[in-house]
Amino acid sequence: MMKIMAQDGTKPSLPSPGADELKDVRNMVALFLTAMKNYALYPADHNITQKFMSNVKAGLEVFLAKYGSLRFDVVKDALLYEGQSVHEDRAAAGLAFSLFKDGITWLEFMEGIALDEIVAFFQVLHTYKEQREEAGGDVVTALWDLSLPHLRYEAADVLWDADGTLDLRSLNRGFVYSREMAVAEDVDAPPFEGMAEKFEETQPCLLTAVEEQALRHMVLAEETKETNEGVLDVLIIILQGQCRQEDFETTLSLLRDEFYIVLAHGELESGLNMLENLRVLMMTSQSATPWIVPMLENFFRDVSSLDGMSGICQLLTGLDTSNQERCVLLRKMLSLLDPVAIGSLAPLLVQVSSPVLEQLLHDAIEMLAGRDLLPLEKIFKSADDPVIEKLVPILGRLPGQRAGQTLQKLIRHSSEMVRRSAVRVFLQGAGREIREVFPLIDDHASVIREMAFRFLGREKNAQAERLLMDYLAKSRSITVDVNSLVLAFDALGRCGGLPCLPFLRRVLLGQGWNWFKGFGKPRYRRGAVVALRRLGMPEAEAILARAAGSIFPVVRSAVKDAEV
Amino acid sequence: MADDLQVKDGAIAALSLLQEDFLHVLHRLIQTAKIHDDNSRLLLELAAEFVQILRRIGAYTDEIILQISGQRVFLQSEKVPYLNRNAALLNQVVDLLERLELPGLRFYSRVLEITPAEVLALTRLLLVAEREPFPLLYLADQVPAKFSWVAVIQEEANFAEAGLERRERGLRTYSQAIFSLQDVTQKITARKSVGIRKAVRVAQKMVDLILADEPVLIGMSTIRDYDDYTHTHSVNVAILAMCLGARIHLSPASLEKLGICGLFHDLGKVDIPLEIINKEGRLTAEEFEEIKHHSLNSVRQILRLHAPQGMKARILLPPFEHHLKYDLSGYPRTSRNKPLSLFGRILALADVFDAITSPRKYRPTALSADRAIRLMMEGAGKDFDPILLKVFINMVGPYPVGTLLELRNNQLGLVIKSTGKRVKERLRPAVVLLEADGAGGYRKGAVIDLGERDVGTGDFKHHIKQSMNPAIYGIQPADFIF
Ligand SMILES: [Fe+2]
Ligand SMILES: [Fe+2]
Repeated sequence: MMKIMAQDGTKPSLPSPGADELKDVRNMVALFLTAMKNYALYPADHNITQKFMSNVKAGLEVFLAKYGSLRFDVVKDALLYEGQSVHEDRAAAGLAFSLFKDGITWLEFMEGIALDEIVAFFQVLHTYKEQREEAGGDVVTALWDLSLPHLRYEAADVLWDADGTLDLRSLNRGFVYSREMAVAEDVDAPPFEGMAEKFEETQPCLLTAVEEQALRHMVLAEETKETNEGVLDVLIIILQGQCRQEDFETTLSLLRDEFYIVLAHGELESGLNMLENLRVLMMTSQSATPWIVPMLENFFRDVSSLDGMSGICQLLTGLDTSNQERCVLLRKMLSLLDPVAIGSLAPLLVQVSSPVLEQLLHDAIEMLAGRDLLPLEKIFKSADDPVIEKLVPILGRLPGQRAGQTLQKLIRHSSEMVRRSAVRVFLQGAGREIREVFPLIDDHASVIREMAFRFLGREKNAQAERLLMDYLAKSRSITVDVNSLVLAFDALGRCGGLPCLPFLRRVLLGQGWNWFKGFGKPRYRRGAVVALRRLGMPEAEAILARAAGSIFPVVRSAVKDAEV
Repeated sequence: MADDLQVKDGAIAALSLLQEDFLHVLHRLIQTAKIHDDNSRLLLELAAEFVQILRRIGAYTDEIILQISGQRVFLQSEKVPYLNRNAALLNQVVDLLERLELPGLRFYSRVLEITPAEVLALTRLLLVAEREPFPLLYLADQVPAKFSWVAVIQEEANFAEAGLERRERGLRTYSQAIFSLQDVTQKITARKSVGIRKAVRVAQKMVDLILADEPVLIGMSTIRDYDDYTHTHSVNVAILAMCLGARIHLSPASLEKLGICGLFHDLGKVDIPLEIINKEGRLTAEEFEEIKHHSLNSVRQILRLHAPQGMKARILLPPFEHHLKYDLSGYPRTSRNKPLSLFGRILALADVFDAITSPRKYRPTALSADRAIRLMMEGAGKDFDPILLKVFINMVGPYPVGTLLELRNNQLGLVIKSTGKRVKERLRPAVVLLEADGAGGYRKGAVIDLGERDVGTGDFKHHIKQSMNPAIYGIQPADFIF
């Protein structure tokens, strides 16, 4: 029903709303209630919640287009629309009571209301629907903070209902001023005669243009700042002087939130400073207040956990590596974390493309794993092969038996990629023994075999020589690929000496094809040529010369082919 | 066309939103015209938008009347309520009209010939007027000659709310702040959990009040109660800090936090033994050390409050800083050596001003406001941020509402209005004369304007001999100034 402005412009007295209008209002209330219920069941960003919010908006749009505004008066257990009850609450946390308990007397939705205003309104209702005596805020304070342009309301002073006002005349009853005392006390300031004139003449308080500008900057900086600068410092100071355990806990929890905020805004220096201070505090509290230590350990574990690390990880992936200073800050920050941080840092190794960054991550993980290997071991069990592959070199640099054992396990890893990396690291390690390495020459992967042969051929070594001869002798009964054979002969030539000469002579000059299976094949002869050349001894040269002049073409051609 | 318009219930609401847009565009026009010339696209768009809005307003009403009175904006003779979102805009509109000495403007929304070019011409005229020695006279002369759709209102309207009602509102809010603080202190002492809901509510109410009617709360900040010094002091500091914040155009959300900082800045005093707080005479070095702990203790108490983390984080630093000086001397001495935050600097000013103008149990004397100001001026750049100090003094000085003046004829007058834009006006404020009531107290006498001159001689009729602290006479200014 539309209300028409009377001809003379005055508003006619309002007729009570018609049945249609009341029905429309009740429908709106029904939409509100469903929305409220869903807000309690699903998270705010859930599809279902959003659907109901859109429903409320659509409903309101139709209603407001028709009637201009929707205004409820709020009483204890009901909402009134132009004096008529349109909703009654049965539940304690009902719509009407949620508003009433905090003093809302009326509430009005206005044309043009946006979806985010509606969402914000329901969020407030949801947050403060329960009545709590000692709360951080209520529906009224929250609506004030939001200052929604299309939602008007009025709130009564319910919090001070019984308090009345101060009686000014009753204050300072017993106060008697004595001029004598004032004189005796020296109030620091003589009577200020001529103040008015001074003000008029010198205008001491006019701001200069520069000051105006500076003032505007101050205010702008205050209004646009995104973190609470200085709060971290103050919290640390509080922690340093804290003696109550529950206070320490509260302070730490606020500190943690602020740390995340600071990181989210890229303020590395404050974040780092905070971590450093806490580490110092942890060390200095060991004796006098040992209960602090586990609390701080917990804190570090928290900020180093998967959830806690999201800010740091973002900083890392977005790091401008040409900015030396920030790289240094981040490096320091990472080194202060708990080793569980490895769980978040390791996966980054395959996400970053900058070598500087990769190095930074490597160093950090190494440092953290050096303090506790367990998180790294966990990663080896759960992470994807590419991540593990990148991590293996760290094991090679870590001291201690446990790291070596882990590396050994990785050498038997199912993924070739991981094995290769592990073997490389393993072979680079100091004091590796021939018998440890030798089995690798049978690996499925040719690269690994190559590495193993190369290792065996590093230097003259009788043990390697013997093992290789055995291997080659046995290889006639198993299938060995050509490449491995060549590598085995090559390694033999490098590590061997006089003892292998008879063997090599036999292979090269032996009775051709049928001498025994396999050795008659040209590749064995060629391999022997390679080995003999590597030996570089006169005895070996003599054998080669004999072969070159052999009456058998297979022998001659082996020498010749091996020259190519 | 308007006659057959069916005005719906929501029309009033729609009109009020349009009016807000109108103020917004008007203000932006003037700001933009200062920087850009008439060919600027932005400026032309704004002028076109102005025409649009005026036409849309024309659908509801023939004219739009913009006036200011008592530093508040009135549209169609209705006070525009200060809301969180429009506070800055309203302040700027007030500033603009005050600079032009212009009580108001009347726009005829149904005049058809209004064009963007005309709007620009009016904007330029206003800017020129600002630099004229008598802006109002200039405008009254120029506007009717040039524009058919706008008229100058030359008489200041008197929309002032009944004094008693304003006082009631101010005192109610002040009292609620005191009660809320008392409540907090009691619960802290009883080691109960303490929520900040009431303090937030009260801070928000104070923001609303300051934005709508600053003088009434500044007047309230003269309340002194040495039996409950810490609470009245804290509320006064909150008020002074918020008023200073409003002067420099902090957002309402920031003012709210600043107010809460003010309310809680001395919360740590609950840990100081009463014997020390109320001790008569000088404190020993140890006792003073004890006092010095209270800023950090305030932070500890705030940490214990039941409040959202985000709120706590926002209100911790200023109480920590409130006894640190601009040059970083003061206390507490810690490893932190960074410049004070804006809120910290504001709080320090408000704190010192209220402290040295309040009589205390151990020192039943106090400086009058102007003496306090002079003392504080000596600390510019050393104790206080020199820029903020200037703004602060402009706000409270030289004779803030509530100052007791002794006149040359030995009469006592209490400053009741000191709101002029110009120092000159504030040097000769309006006072209410105080007459002895025969029972050791005083009652309200006549209100006189110290700026009033003798018609014959042209000399001032009244002269100030000196200022006094009202507490010395046992006077609560808030009792008399409304
Ligand atoms: Fe203090
Ligand atoms: Fe204080």
